[in-house]
Amino acid sequence: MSDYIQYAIDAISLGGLYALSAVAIALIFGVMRMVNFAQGDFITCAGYAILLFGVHSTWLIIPVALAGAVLVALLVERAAFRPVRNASMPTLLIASFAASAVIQNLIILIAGSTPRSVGILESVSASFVTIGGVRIAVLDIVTTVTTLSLLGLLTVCLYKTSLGLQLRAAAENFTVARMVGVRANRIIAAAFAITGVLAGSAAGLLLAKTGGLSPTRGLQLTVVGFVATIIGGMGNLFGAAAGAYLIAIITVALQTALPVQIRGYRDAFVYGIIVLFLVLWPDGIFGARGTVERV
Amino acid sequence: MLKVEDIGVRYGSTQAVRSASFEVRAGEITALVGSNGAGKTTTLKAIVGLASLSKGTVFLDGKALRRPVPERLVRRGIVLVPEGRQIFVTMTVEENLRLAELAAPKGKAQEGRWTRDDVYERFASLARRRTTSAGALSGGEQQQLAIARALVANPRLILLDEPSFGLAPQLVDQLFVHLGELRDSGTAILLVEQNALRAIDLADRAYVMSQGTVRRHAGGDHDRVKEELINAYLGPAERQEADGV
Repeated sequence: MSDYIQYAIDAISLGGLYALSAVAIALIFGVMRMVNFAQGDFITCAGYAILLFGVHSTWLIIPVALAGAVLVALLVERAAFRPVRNASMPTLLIASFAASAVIQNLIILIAGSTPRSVGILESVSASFVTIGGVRIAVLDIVTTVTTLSLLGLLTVCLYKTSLGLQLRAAAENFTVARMVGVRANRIIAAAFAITGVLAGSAAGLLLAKTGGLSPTRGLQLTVVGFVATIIGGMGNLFGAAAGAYLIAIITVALQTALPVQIRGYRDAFVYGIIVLFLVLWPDGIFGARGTVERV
Repeated sequence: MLKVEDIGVRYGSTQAVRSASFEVRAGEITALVGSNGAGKTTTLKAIVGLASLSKGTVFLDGKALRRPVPERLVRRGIVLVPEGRQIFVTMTVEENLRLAELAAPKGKAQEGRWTRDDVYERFASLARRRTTSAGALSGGEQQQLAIARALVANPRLILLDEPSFGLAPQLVDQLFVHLGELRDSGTAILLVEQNALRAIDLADRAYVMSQGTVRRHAGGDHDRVKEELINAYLGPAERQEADGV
């Protein structure tokens, strides 16, 4: 029994990390109809920001990670995406791939391509608590609380604030949103700033968990986030988060259920199941939004 | 207030608007009528910057509008109510109005300014359905919401694109009454309508658009506008034939 509880905790913790990336991708898809493949690179940049400025003081980690990711997200939006904002979906997709490649190569240029080890929050990563006979990693609790709080805050922001009202309007129909006075540049910049906050948080949690950093560190989270948004229904934030948790559950289940000899192929099985899933529900769990051409 | 001078709009190789010139005066309803595909909607889009001009100039308060941006024009009191209502269907009535209110020109309370309460007073059925999702409203209510949404932005001029489209006849009557009252409250309206004769009767000034061109200004002379309108729909030659019969 305690094993199953342990698996559940693993899945919730991993799902939270995936959800931070998935929700960010869904948010940008909502307002721009663009899949932002640079989201993982925002996470990587936040990781390097921590490596450069944050390792010496625990208190600096969070502000440095958030500031780094938000800054990069805003810069990329301004330099790479704003000039092509009204272009077709394939053009936007290529722009986001290009932005991702440029960021990765800039990181290699500045910090080199050698993977680094970054030890942060080591006292937290190494500690456990025992609740009802189940040994739980404190980091899993921190990860779960952080991700759920961020997702909760984002929901409050979307449904209770003027910014959220404008973001939802922009996601439903960008042109009409502008007709009622939603400022296009500001609202898209705000959406990117939010994805920066999500990326910075993901970077902190990821580094605390794995301690490893490389120029392509965030790539896996982009892929998982993208797949999760497809499972949940493109542009649907709630669906994206649900998709992320579903991928995490499948991953943890296979990790424990697969025989040791084929465990190395776990991800092939994960994505195989997702392909089957999409054959059955091509629009995702909650239906796709905004896949209709924009006015 | 708004003066459009010889504007043209081109979509690729199609010349959607060839040459349009007209004027909208403060506190008046100006009708822009004409058949389907005449370029009326494109003209409205060009005024607010959703279509780029290939020639000509739009003047607001005597000053040329260079590179108009819809969200900035809203803050200057020019609001477009697009064809087909285009309200936010995933939001409630209240949220649709709150969103539009955000863009209302700030500063001290202006005389005759529309608040959400005023709008609810005017459109009672919207008041009853405040917390309803806008997608669940009837067609008539959605049109009311589209106009109400424009009003809370506190505009000086509303550009209305086909407001009667798809509405039942009694709702159209009600709509035209509302538009008349709006004008009387001091808001100027540029009304694009396929329901041409009714629009002309309501308007203080009317223009006929045909094949991308606003040909002449007939001003308040409604009979002349109607004659021009018939010419635009039938063409002068057919008209003579029709008269001959």
